[in-house]
Amino acid sequence: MRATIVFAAITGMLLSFAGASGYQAGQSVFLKNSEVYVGTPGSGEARQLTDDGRPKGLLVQSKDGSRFAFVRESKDELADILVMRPDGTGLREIHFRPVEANVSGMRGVEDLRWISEQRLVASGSVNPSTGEYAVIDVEAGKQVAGCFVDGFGWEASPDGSHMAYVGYIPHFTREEDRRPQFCLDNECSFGAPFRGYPGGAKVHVEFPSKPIWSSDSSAAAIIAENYQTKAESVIVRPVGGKPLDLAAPPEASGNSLQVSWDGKALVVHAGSRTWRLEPGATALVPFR
Amino acid sequence: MVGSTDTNISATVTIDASSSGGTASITVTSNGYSGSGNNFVESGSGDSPTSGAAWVEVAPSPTVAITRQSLMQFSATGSPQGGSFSYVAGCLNGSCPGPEPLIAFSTGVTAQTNPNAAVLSNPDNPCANQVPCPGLLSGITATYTLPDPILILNGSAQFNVATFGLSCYDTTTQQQWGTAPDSCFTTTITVNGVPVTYSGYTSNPPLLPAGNYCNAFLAQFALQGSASLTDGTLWQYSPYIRQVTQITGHDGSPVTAGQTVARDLAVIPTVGVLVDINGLGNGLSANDTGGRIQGYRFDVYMGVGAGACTGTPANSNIMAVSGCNPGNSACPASTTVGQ
Repeated sequence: MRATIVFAAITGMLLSFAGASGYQAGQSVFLKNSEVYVGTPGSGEARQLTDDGRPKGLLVQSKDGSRFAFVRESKDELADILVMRPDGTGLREIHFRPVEANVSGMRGVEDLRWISEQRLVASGSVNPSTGEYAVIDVEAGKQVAGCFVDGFGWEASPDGSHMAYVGYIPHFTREEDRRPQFCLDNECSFGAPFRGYPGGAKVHVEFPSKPIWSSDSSAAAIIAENYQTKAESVIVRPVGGKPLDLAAPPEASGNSLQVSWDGKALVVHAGSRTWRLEPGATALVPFR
Repeated sequence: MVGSTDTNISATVTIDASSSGGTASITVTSNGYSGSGNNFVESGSGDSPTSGAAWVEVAPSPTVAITRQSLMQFSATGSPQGGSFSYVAGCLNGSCPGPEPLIAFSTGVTAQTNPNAAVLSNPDNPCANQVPCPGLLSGITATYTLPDPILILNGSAQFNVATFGLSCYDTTTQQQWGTAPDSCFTTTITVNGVPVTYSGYTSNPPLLPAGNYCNAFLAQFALQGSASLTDGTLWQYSPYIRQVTQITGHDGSPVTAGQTVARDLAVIPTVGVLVDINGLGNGLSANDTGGRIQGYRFDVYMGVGAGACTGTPANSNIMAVSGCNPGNSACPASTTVGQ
């Protein structure tokens, strides 16, 4: 039986409801001509969820698919961030960051990501090297955390409560002069240089990959390379704990390191060899 | 009909050689009807002359050649005469989808004009709120079609064009944030989720000349990475606060207002590349970089002061057809053709 279509005007948007079933097989939410639809693209059977005529973009689904978010053009804010369910219900409308002359930060919302079922991160560039990451709690309807990253690789922990990134690679700076840091949360954010790992300006390491979080959000790991010697190591940063800097095992010589997590255990690969760092341990152990 | 299962078809190749050269022709016979020439097709329906079928000689396949006169102008020449031109842009190398450059016939030129002059133009910024937005690498294909009554005969040629999304950055100045200690302006920056208003002043901050500095200025210096003091000296984070005679980019050469762009090293990895940017200028130095400039993005350095970016195309975050000199496969040169 076809569901009844009800139109309701909510804060300037006209939403259509078609029951509460959300997605059906093969359906998805998509943007077409500045409006949001749910259905099968190209089938002609899509339901229109918005019709305010305002440009939209960055449509992203939550991890469990129960909600989606997108940005809508705004004259007074950097963007309106809207969240709703595929059936058009559950609308949350977040007016993000007033556009005023004395407010500084990202130039615009260039990316939108879900980092947990309740949290989104809106990010944008400040200048060539610095990006701002604003963590937004959907239910609270506002920014609850965030940081400035003049580097790369910003990754939220799976539970959305922590951030890991490579910081302190400012533009205007030659590669040999920079001192990248592996940072958690706000260690290396605005006005706080050299507070990550390895810390200070004496040791120069580069990071050839992005941080990877353990599935329980308790630690993040990254591969580091000494700028002078090119020797690789694995750096593990437990949240609230002391960093571990694990030199590449001699048997890894000639092969680039790769890291992953197996639950709470860190797994390091080099060529055909594998090592593990078990929870609470401080050294890599060969694994089969 | 002649096809893969036709067993009645036969062909004779005749070669007429002489001291001055030679010609060759092919005669094809099938079910009692035949045709000869160098390039022919079966027409009509049925298997014999009585059913209206025939072999018809057709013109040789057309060819098209492209000449790119400048970053935005190119022309295509088709052979033989009598055909018509069309153009299409398609994204390449994993940069899809994206804002393709627009293509139009030059003023006074129609699809039948041969040679055929055409122009590129910048696409609109497709991102919501017109924020800094990545461009892409496009293949521009020129197709030349002959009006053959039986077959669609066409030839094509392609060249690649990069389109970059622009943005603007600058050097903050001490005076734009007021005069310490009595007339400091404020700036609000959200730190760890909490809006923090920087007002008032600080005396003798570390690493800067002794004196009073508005806190709004110090915050902007930390945020933007370079500063000009009221005494005219230049300072930058590199990697810590230090005075410099010139503000330099990642490559070590000075950044110049309106003449420097920060680029992704994956797109322009080498030092010394000059870029032509439609709507902005030619010969800009791609000598800076940063982690937030990824893919087909240029951040254009516009100089010192709050107004440096105001009103510039870069600050409007336009999309701009651009060329690299020297070019590479990710960012072709301004007059590259033939790919």
